[in-house]
Amino acid sequence: MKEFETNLAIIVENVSKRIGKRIVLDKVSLQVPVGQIYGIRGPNGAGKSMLLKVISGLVRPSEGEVIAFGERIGQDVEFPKQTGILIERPGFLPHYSALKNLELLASIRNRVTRDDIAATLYRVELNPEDARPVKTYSTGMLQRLGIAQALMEKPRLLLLDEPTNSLDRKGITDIHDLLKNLRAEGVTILLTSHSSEELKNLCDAILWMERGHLESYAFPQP
Amino acid sequence: MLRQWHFLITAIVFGMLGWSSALYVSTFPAPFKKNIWDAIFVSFAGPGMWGTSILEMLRWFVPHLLFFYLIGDMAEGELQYRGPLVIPLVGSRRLWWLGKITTLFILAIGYTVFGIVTTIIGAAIALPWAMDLSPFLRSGALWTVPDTMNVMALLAWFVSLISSTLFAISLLQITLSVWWRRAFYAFTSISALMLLSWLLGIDNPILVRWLPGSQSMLLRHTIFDSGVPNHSLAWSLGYNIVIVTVVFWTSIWHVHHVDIWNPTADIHLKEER
Repeated sequence: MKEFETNLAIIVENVSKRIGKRIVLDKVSLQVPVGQIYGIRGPNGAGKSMLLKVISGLVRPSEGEVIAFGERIGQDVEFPKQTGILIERPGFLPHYSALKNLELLASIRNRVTRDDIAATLYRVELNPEDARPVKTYSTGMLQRLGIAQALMEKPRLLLLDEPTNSLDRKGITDIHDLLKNLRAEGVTILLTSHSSEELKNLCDAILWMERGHLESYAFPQP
Repeated sequence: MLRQWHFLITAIVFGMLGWSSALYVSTFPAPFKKNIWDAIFVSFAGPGMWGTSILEMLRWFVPHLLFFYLIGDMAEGELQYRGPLVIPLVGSRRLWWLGKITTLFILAIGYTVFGIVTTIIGAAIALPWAMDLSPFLRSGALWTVPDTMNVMALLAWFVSLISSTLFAISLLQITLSVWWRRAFYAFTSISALMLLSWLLGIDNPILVRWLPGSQSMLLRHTIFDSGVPNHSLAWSLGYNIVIVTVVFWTSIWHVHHVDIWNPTADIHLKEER
């Protein structure tokens, strides 16, 4: 095993993923330093979401290895520890309120209190006292709830697939401010987006993906 | 996740089963007194081996089919929709799978007990309640019931054989659903397997104890049909335990490697197919 470089949150080494005959990821390598925001851009089907799924441990790579905070995913641990994940549309229970949904999820590990969950909901501008079932939520509200779920257990790594999707302009600004605050608190964030403007505004580095390849890096000036 | 309509449809199916079995029993002109246990016996004894009565087969098959339908999506559905939320919090695919198996075990027993209770209620509409098996059932006019058999022993046979068969076969079903990533394929395959077992067992006393699903057909056991050799309660329970053990270890190995996402919902991959 490679010696863990303490300033790196994520190391992706030659990761490939084949599904049937299709190569979805092709020898992708990437390093994300602790406390930075890295963004991934690329056309639909480029492999952005799949890369996040592999890093999050949800999908097993066909080849290569992912190391998160010194632990090999799929070998030392199945899923990176203290990681918040927002990938695809989260499958919340439609008949329960936002608070109840998060309470049920939090009860699996019992690491956060009801007050913590309420505070996280406030942080994404959702009202924890809102008793409406989430099936009545707009897409934007569901997206906020998805972000709240990812933040709920105070992660040190956030993997976010198009986190500002379906949000209005104010929602996007709110989430950008939130992510910048999290970075200031030392949280490492890897996200995907279709918006180059968003990535330039947020990220310490922008990666361009196409057809399963990581094509290039860019480091926007502050 | 269990919903109200699951209970409702289960209650309707078993209630109808009990009621229709009671009406069926009532049609026999016999000098002996009848009671609800006759209807319970008809409802859960399963198809006999020496005929191709569709009605007998349906009384056995429909409650099994309903259970397979109700639980069919419990693993694959969660893997696709709530899996990305839940499984990382659980921390291990295998731990999550053990939770599913435990739930399935409880559901198989719960479904059987709930089904029997509802059938008793349905049967009670047409036949009188009693604390012991009826003289009609003991007369041997239609079925061979051992003299030592009483209500509790009969219920123990029903609960143990039906719930263990439901558990074994549905464990195979949810494993196939995760293997193929299609709950419907697994449901139809398992249903076809049960029908095939019924069909192959007809007039075939040597083969019957080897067929998966035959374990919940009481009338194909030696104690109720001396023409069937070596098909005992212990054999059937052992058979189901072997299925559970083999499927359990195979599924544990497979689930450890499974991807947690919805491959059928990925637009970009779908375009490629």
